[in-house]
Amino acid sequence: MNDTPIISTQNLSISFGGLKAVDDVTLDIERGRITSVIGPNGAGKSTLFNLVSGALAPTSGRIILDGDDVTGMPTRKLQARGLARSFQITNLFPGSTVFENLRLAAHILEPGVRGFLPVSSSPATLARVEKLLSQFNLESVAADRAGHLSHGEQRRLEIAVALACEPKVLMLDEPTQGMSHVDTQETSVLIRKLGENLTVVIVEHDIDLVMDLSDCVVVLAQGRVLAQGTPQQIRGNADVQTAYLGGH
Amino acid sequence: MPDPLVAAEVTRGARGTRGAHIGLAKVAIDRENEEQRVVGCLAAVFFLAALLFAIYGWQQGDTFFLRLGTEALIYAGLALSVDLLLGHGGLLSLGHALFFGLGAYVSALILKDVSPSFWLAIAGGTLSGLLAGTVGGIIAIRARGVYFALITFGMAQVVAKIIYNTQELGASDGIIGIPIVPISLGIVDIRSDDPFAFFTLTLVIVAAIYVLLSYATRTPYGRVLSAIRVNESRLPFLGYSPAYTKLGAFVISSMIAGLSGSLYPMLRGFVSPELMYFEVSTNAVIAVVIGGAGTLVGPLFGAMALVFGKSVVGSYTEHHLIVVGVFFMASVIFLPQGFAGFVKDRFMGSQDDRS
Repeated sequence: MNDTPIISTQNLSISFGGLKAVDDVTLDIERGRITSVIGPNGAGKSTLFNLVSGALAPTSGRIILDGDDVTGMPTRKLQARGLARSFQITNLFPGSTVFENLRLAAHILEPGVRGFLPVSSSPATLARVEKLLSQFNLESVAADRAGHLSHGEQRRLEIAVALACEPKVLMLDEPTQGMSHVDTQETSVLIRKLGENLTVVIVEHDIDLVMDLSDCVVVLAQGRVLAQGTPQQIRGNADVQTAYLGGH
Repeated sequence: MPDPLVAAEVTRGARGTRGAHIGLAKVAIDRENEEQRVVGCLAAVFFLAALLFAIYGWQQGDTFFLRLGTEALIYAGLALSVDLLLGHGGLLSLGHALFFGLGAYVSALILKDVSPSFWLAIAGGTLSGLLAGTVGGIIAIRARGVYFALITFGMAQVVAKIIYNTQELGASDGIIGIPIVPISLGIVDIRSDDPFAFFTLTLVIVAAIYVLLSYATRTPYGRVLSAIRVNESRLPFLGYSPAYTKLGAFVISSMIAGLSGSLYPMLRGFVSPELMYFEVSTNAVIAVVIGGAGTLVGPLFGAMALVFGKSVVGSYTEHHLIVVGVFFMASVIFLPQGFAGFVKDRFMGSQDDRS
C-alpha cells in the first residue's frame, strides 16, 4: 500500500470579494482512512470541499490528487481520476426512478462504444446497480421515483449514486444532514464499511458521529486549519475546545 | 470493492413491512419496458394509420390530401428534431426553421442547378444541417433556458433576413421551378410528383428518423441528455460532460431538421424565405408540446393535428392562427403532458397515483 497522501492541498486559498473563505489551507488526506472536516458554521468546510472536488477554482494554492497536480481541473476529469462526491442538499434526478439514478451514474464506467448501445444491454452496469441497491437497502424502492423517497432514503441514494463510479476517494458533504437518529446510526455503519475499502472524506456537523467514525479529524475555523489529528487528540485540544466543541 | 455484508448490517426499517421482497431492479426494468411498449404501440398506430390513409387516398385518386399529408410528415420530421432537444435535453429551440429552411434551399439548389438527384439532395440538406448545426450549436449551447431560446431565435432571424435580401437566391420570391425528381429505390422507380409514392417514401423516412431517435434516447448517451433537463449541474460530478452532450444533440437535431427540409422542394416545387420564419419554428414547438414532449411519438401526432387542423380551419376563415392559439392553450391546460403523455398515463397508471 502506498503511503503518500491521496489528496494534498498546498496553501489553498479562495476569496469571494473581500472574504477569504478558505485561507492558506495545507492538508494531507491519508489513503484508505476516514477523514472528517468539522468546524463552526462559516468555517469554510463546504468551500474547501468544493475546491477539492473541482466545483470551485482556488484563488491560489495547489491541489494534488494521487501525486498529480489537479488544481483547476474540471470536475468531470477529477471524477475520471477516481474522485466522487455527494451533496449536502440531495442533488439527484427526482423524476427518475432510484434504479435509473443509479444506472445513469454506473454507466460512466462502461467503455465508450457502450454509449451507443441500449442501456438495457449492459449486464455489468446492471450488476453494479443491483449491488448498490442491496448495499444501501434500496431494493424495495428501486422502481419509485427518487423524489418520492423519504428523506433518509434520499440521503442513502445520494451516497449510492456517488459510489456508483467505484471511486478511489468518496467525499460526503453532510451525509446525515436532517436524518433521524436511527437513520444516522445506519448511515454511520454504512460509511464505516465503505471506509474499509476506500478513502472517505466527510464534512459533518454531527460531532458524535464524527468522533465515532473518523480515523482523522480536521478542524477548520475562519477558513484556516485549527487542528488536525485523531478524534482523541482533537477532543483534548484546547484551541478546538474554545473555538468549537462547546467552549464559549 | 464495497462489502455486500453491509446490506445485512443495515437494519431493515419500516420498508421491510411493505410487502414481499422484490427482485432488486426487476420492477424498475419492467416498468421501463412497459413504457416502451405503450409508446411503441402508439407509434405502430400512427404509421399504420398513415399507411391506410395513403392507400385510401391512392384508391380515391386523391392528390390534395396526400400532398397535405406529405407536408405534415415533413413537419413531423422537424418536430422530431425539436423534441430531441426540448423533450429530452430540455432545450427550447425557437430557431429550428433555420436548419429546416437551409436544408430546403440546399436541396432546391442541388435539384435545380446540379442534378435532379433525390439522394444528392437529401444528402446535401442533411449535410447543411450538420454544418450549420455545429456552428449554431457551439454558439447556442453556451446559454441556458430563455437565453438559449433567444439565441436560436436570433440566429434563424438573421439567416432568414440574409436570404430574404439575396437576389441570387430569389430574395423574397424564393426559388421556383424545381424539377420533378425521379427517385430510384432499387426495386421501384418513383417520381416526386406521384402523391401516393412520395407520401409513402416520406413516411418511410420519418419512420426511420423516429426509430433512430427512439433508439438513441435508450442509449446511455440519450439518458445523459435526459438528465440534463432535470439536473445539469450534477452531471459533471458523475463524470459526464453536459456541453458535449448538448452539442451532439444539437447537431443531430439540426441534421434531422435539414433532412426534413430537403424533402420540401420535391413536394411543393419551390422554396421561399418563409420556410425559415419564426412561425415554422414555433409550429414545430407547438406540435411537440401538444403531442407530448419527450415521447417522440407524440410530436408525430402533433404535427398531423397542426397541419390538417390549419388546413381545415383555414378553409373557413383566414384567421386560423387564432384557432391554433386557442387549441394550443387548451391542450397545455387540459393535457399538460400532451397527447402521448396522456395516453401513456392512461395505459400505465400514473406513478404518482401509486404508493
